[in-house]
Amino acid sequence: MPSVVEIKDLVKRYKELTAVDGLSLTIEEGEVFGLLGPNGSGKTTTISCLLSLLDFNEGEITVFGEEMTPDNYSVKSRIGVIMQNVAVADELTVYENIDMFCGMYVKDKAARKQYVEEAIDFAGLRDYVKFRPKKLSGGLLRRLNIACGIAHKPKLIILDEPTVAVDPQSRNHILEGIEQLNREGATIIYTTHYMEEVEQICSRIAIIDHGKLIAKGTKEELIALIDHTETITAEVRDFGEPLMEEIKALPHVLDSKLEDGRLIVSYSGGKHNLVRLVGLLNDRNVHLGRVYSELPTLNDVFLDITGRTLRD
Amino acid sequence: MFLHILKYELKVALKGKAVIFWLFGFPAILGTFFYIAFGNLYSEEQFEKIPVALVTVTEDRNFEQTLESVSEGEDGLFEIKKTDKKKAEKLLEDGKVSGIIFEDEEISLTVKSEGIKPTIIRFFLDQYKVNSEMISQQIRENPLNIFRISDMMRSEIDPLIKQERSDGNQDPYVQYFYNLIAMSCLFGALGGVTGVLRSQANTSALGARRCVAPVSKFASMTASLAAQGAISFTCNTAAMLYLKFVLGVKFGVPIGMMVLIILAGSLNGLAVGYFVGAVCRSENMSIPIVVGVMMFFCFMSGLMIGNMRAKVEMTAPWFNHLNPAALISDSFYVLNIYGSNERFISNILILTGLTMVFMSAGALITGRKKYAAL
Repeated sequence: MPSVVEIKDLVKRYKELTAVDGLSLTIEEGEVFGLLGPNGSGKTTTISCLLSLLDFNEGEITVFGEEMTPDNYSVKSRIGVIMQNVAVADELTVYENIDMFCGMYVKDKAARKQYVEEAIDFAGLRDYVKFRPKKLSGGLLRRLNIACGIAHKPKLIILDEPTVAVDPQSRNHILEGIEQLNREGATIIYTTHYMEEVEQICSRIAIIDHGKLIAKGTKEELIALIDHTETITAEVRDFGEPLMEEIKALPHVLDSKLEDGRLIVSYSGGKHNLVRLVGLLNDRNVHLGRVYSELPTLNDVFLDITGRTLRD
Repeated sequence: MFLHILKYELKVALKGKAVIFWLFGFPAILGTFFYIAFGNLYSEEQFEKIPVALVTVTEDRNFEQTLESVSEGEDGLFEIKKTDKKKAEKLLEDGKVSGIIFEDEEISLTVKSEGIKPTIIRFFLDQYKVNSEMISQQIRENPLNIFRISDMMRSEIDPLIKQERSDGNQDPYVQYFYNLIAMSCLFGALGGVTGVLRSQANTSALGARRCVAPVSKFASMTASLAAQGAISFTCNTAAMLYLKFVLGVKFGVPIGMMVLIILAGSLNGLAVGYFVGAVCRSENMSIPIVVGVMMFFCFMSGLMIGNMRAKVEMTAPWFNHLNPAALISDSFYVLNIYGSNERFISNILILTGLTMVFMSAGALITGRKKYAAL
């Protein structure tokens, strides 16, 4: 697949602080590419450099095979941007806001009218077209923000944390909408620090921290980077150190600990781990509450690589 | 593209109630208060000479000449009764005079009660003291400036000097309305601030969204400023029309020329706002700064204190040539008293020059296409 975005050795410094430190990424056509990292990791700075809003110190950025510059209107016209902060005019109605931004990309009035109508339906704002932004709930406002960014049917859509402070219903609506846009042919760059969202919609993921690329790949590839493959949690009454030693001696066990009445055992590979653990605990007459098994998440990947959680 | 952005910027500006209030509502309300307070004070049909007793202890020939000159003729200000202290007190007690002026080393006033007539007498004496001190000082320090100072005084609320021309409005209070329109024009700076904040990626999310669109920055910024300028000019013109046709304020200036002054003033206000917004980069900083600067200009041109412009002319004459509010109100005054002349043209040219300087400086600051930080 041809690449839509290529970032090579990007460096952005703010005086003493290096916000982006030699970042290289390639985003291919048709992808939903997740840019994952904690707050302050350099996600928004990277996006701002990509959009040619921010000057950067080193590196190269090409979009649709062309160097990205502030005057490259041909490239800009194919990009849709949904900013982290809601960017709409409070004085205009929902319809007027979408039309205003769409009109900056689409000159033909008839086509623009159709695009605006489609964006309204896409964002579920049909009942609110005459509302002003201040009359909208937080979730509807975010949807308006998205509609303003995608009404012109861009080929590359960049969403910078579009679900911050959004209710679950609107979040689902937004995520489903992004998947729909991708199905219709748009390449998506999605930045967030919510790992569940990335797991749900992204085909490839890059994890960055302190402006550096820590890991990239599909979800499965990222999870394969870490040793542990399964975590079993069992609600138990307290028991002695000898039994804990027996648990640690079970096949494929990486680590085990007792925490707030819960036994947490992590594994590296192997099959039937749950059966073996429950069997041992029954043999030792340990009363069990709930017992469940979890596969590793991206948070485990991040924790494993950086030593801290994504939500820091 | 420019027209598309302009259309929506006009819509946004029209719905911005705060800006409309400051550009139209505020001058209209303040103008109405001015009109109620002293709009008819000098109208011929209502005015009667104010009877005043003059008690001379130490003769001041200059003062007496001034008093006589403003009391001459049927439309004179005072009816002077020269008398001694005892008789003057009796006249005051009987209500036959509104006040007693004691002409001694210091000129003083005694009144029986407060009211419009005693206030006019006191105002006259205060003006005389201030202006005679100014003239004396200028004669001592800078005799060449005396003609300009004299002219400034004439433009203030100053009944000491008879107007040379009769087809303009002789009412000195009209100067307050000139200053009011000057202030209204300069409040167009709020639009300039808004225009720049809405167009810059480092000042607002809206600006960032506009900067990522395939629109030239020049077109985007120009459309914003053009919309704000158009609204400012329209509101200021509407305020002037309200004062002229609803309240009946006699500006003494042809309407076309008033529109020209308002156009130059509105653009100047817009340019100052553009520059301040470009420098400050935040609404929380820009608005208080721009309002403060504008109010300072208006204060120095005499909106709050009648003869401030003459005082400034005495101490820092260059400031009157750079103060947009003073230039605007002086343009009205010059047209009212002399008709179009070199001073009026000079005022408009300086105002336009200042506009271009602020616009250019603003453009230099906002012209960058990428930002060091957002």
